[in-house]
Amino acid sequence: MTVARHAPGLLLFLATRNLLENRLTTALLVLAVAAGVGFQVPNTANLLGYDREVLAQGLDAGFGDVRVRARTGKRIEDADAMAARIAALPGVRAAVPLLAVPGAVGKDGRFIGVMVSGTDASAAGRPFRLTAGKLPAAGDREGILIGTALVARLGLRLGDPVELRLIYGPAGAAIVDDNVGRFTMSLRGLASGMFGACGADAAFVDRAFLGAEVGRSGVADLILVYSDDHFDARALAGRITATIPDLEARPWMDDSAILFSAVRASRAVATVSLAMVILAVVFPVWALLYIHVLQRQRQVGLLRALGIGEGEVFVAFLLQALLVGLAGVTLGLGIAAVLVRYFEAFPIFRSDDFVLRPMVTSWAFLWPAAVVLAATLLAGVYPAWRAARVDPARALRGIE
Amino acid sequence: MSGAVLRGEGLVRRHGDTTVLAGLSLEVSPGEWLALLGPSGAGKTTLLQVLGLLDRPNQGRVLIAGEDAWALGAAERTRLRLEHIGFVFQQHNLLGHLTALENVALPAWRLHGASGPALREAQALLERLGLSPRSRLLAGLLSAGEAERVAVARALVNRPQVVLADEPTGSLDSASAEKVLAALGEVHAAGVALIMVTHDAGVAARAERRLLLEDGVLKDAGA
Repeated sequence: MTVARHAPGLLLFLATRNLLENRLTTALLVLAVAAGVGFQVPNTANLLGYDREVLAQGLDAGFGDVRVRARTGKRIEDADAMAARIAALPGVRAAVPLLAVPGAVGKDGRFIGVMVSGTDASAAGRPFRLTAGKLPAAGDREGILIGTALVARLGLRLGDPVELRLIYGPAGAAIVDDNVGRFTMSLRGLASGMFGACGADAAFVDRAFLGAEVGRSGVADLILVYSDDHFDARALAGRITATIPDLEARPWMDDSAILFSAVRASRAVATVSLAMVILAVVFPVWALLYIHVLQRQRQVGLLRALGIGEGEVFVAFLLQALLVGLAGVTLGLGIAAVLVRYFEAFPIFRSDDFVLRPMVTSWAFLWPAAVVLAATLLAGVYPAWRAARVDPARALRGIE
Repeated sequence: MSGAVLRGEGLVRRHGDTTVLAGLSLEVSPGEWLALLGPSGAGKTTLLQVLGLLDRPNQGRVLIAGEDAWALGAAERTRLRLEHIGFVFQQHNLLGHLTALENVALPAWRLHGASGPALREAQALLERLGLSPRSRLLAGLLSAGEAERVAVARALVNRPQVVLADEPTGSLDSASAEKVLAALGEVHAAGVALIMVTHDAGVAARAERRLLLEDGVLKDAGA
């Protein structure tokens, strides 16, 4: 008669029956794992949603992934041609020239100072979100788009006349009648944006109009470069500089420290949170499984006497951790799905245009589940090893 | 003796400063019924555990089917135990959360690697011992006598050459003890060697050979 090399069915049977023997302990173990997954999945989804929204506000509806300026510190001449060359580079979704002039907008004689930016209505990217109305069309000399915060402060409504002042002189020059442009515009639309974008507290007009007013048609202060891969910005900036050495290209990570810090902070929070979940799962699972083993030393001794090998005892007890992990992760994913739905319906943060909704991806669900499952298995290793090391002779005589 | 199913040579086992087995030797022939007597604490259980490959002697050899068991690796010793040795422990030692049938089938399941043949074999054995109606009951719900007979069935399920029984009737009333002894009688009748530890002279009288363990050595206990 030959002994079968393995009896996986027997080990699975023993693991299952051992867990069922003490249903309360098993339920507590499963709940500990489920709580870990049930907490960490919505947490991950919310943090991913936060990253997505911060990057969308700061980059897609902000100053782009790479900000390009002239090395001389002056305006970029022939900005449209430069933008076209940049737009042709791989990884670039849009290259948008932006002309900025200090000024003020007002109503009924009350003015608030703003940076007035000239953009093109046809551009594939823009440094704000259009929340109402429309953009001033190309050649529109009377249309203006104003940030929602400013609109609220001035008590404006779409279609209202808006007084616009543009200051043409160099920085630091005295503001006198000769270098101030005065216009009566019509409020065409509302813009919003946060985290480095200029929408909420700024004004936008047609760039051709603004260029004509400053007497430098076709110039820009900045070329905003938009990309779909935000974290390739540094390499993209290098490609732009290599292509046009006269221009200085700064990736958003260097140009917008607060935005980069916000993203890094959310990742740090995600890492700390995951570490805490791992600890919160590992310790109770380890402790309960260890007690479980201590209470079953005689049983282990008996199994060894009946021909179950040391390694097989280890596997049988580790299988218990795996079964607990699988059951807990399954239950936890169910809890997480419900919580994610809840946070989709009731976002944990909402401020004006910034709404933090969980980002529902397979990563948000599977990564925490995989980590918690691995942590559960890890927590089971020492108790399983301890079970495998039980001396059957001592255990059967009740010494251990 | 080349025909021995189990042989212990010069076995020494010490627990701390106490020498439990002091170089004793023992040989068991196929189908032999041997009773092991001795006062409490004499080392009878230790001897059974050493012979059953559960406890490593400090000195000496245990030969099973001609193989020096303690010279083998752990996996090989486990194989020897599965193929050649059946245990009936003190206080039956069933797994209380498994049914009687599952308890009996367990060593066979490990031996064959499949549950089907193991459960069939276990069911047949329980029938032979009159325990078929109790086979689906959790072992923890069996009476002491039933549990001991289930333990006998479990010891036999892999058709071992030798069964080591440690006071199988020690905690039973006389009626239950008689049933267990009848079951062990069947073991003997099937040609399986039986080494049985007992304090009961009446039980020992059923054996073909009686040995007394005293001061770490075996002596002929006579008739």
